[in-house]
Amino acid sequence: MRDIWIYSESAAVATQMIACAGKISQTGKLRVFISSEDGTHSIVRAGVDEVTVFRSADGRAESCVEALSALAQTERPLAILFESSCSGKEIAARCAAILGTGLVTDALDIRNNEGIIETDRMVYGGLAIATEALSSPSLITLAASLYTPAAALGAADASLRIQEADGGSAINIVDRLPIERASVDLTKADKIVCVGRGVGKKDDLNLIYEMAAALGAEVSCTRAINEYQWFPPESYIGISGFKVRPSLYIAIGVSGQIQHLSGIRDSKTVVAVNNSESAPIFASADYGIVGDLYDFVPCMITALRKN
Amino acid sequence: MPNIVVCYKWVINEQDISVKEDTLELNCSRAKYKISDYDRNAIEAAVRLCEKYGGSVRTVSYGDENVKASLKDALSRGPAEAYWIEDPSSITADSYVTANVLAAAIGKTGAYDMVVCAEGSSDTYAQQTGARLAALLNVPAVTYAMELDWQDGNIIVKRKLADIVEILQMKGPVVISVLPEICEPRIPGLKQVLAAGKKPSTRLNVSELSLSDEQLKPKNRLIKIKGAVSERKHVLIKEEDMAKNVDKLLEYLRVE
Repeated sequence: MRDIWIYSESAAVATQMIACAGKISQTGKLRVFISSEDGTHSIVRAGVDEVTVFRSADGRAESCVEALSALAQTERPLAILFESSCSGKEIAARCAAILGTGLVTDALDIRNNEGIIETDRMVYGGLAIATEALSSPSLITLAASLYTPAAALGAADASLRIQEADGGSAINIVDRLPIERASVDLTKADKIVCVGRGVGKKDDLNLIYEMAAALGAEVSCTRAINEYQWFPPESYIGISGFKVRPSLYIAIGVSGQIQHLSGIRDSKTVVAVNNSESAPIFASADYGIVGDLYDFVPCMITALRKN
Repeated sequence: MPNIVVCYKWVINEQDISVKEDTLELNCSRAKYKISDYDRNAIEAAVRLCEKYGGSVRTVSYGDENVKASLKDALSRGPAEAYWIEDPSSITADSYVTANVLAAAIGKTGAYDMVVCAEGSSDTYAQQTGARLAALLNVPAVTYAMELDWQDGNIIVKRKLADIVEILQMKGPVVISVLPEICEPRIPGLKQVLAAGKKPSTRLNVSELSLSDEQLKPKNRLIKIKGAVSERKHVLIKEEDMAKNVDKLLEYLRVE
């Protein structure tokens, strides 16, 4: 049986990808590649056979592309599962091009169908699901919904090796700056109120924040609103922004473009308020109220405070 | 002065696709085509750079028999010249084939400092083309660019990752894939649309690209494509006034 490889920037995420590797192979060896030395003490005991840490002179995770693809070229694993982070996707795509093989990004499910790896992924902004049979080696980046909490550690220590990875790249890193975001992590928020173009002006956000506070919810926005710069930059929800999975998601004046809906599909309960009954958001909502958000929000605040 | 190639994809508008309720099959027969949403931002970013520093922008697109209809739209957005590859292989092409064709075509259009792509297309959003092109063209890849600048022959990119922004500097040639927030695409005016009709465009045939049959054959095979099932409850609350709507909603939410 051929091996399964996992690539992640961090040991923490790699550990969460192990169960998924088990879905496609029980017998092949499981080999983990990470580009950070943090947490290696735990990943070696997570039930994997071998751990390789790529150490790059310039500190860029992407510097491992040549080393990883050269190894894959000689050892031909059955599949390489990549973390669906920005760097993970770049690394996966460059490896796929070097290896001359296919790649599925953001796979929602993976299966082994008699030795052929099959995946499901979203297309047309979440309108449809495409099922594909992959070439070999099968390169896949896993959607975060496939990550599972690591099983208890305690397996025998896997072998650990450190490999120098020099990208030899002509890219010069001038600076690295942390992104200043709102202090909350939207992807972990339990309740989210999302503001769409139906909200007329920035001052009206005060009312929204009041309702969110009464609900104990975070406030975010659609990409259209992001362009007005009412919120910290790049903090919108949608296919190119955050993908959220709260227990309650309330869309206020959001029309429901497909690109936005794909960012909220993992929400447990979706509530939509929009003055147009034909707004596409209602087709993706559990509960809808057709009406003026400027009536809804004050009523909500009053009702929530009464309870 | 920057010499830029922008790749764009002529895609069906996903808003025009309907899903048959019983079979979940997609009906695309009424769908119109468009330049993939984020590709418009990519074209705009390249054009703005050249409007500021001189240089030139040319576009390359690979598609089926419909792709020629995209040229006017693409050129009205500011590029000087367009290349297109019209071939039925594009219908089943995966990112492997697309990158092979685009890389070979880019090589035919002359020297460049930058190839600019969008972060992903609005149909498949595979997010592979830029990074694959860099590997095939054997030049550095810069993905997730949120700002792009040109300083005395140096390319400066702000690259946005999950929790960090990298400021990168390099000389061309390089492939850069840009985020939609890099800039807002223009809406071409009548004058630009008329001017677009007079700009040069060149068709490249797949047969001129020295690609093997293998390189034109998709690696991943599409088994099926089905409408995503929405498991939402679709309860529309229609009480006589808003206070009652809200009470009803909170009642529902309490049992969730």
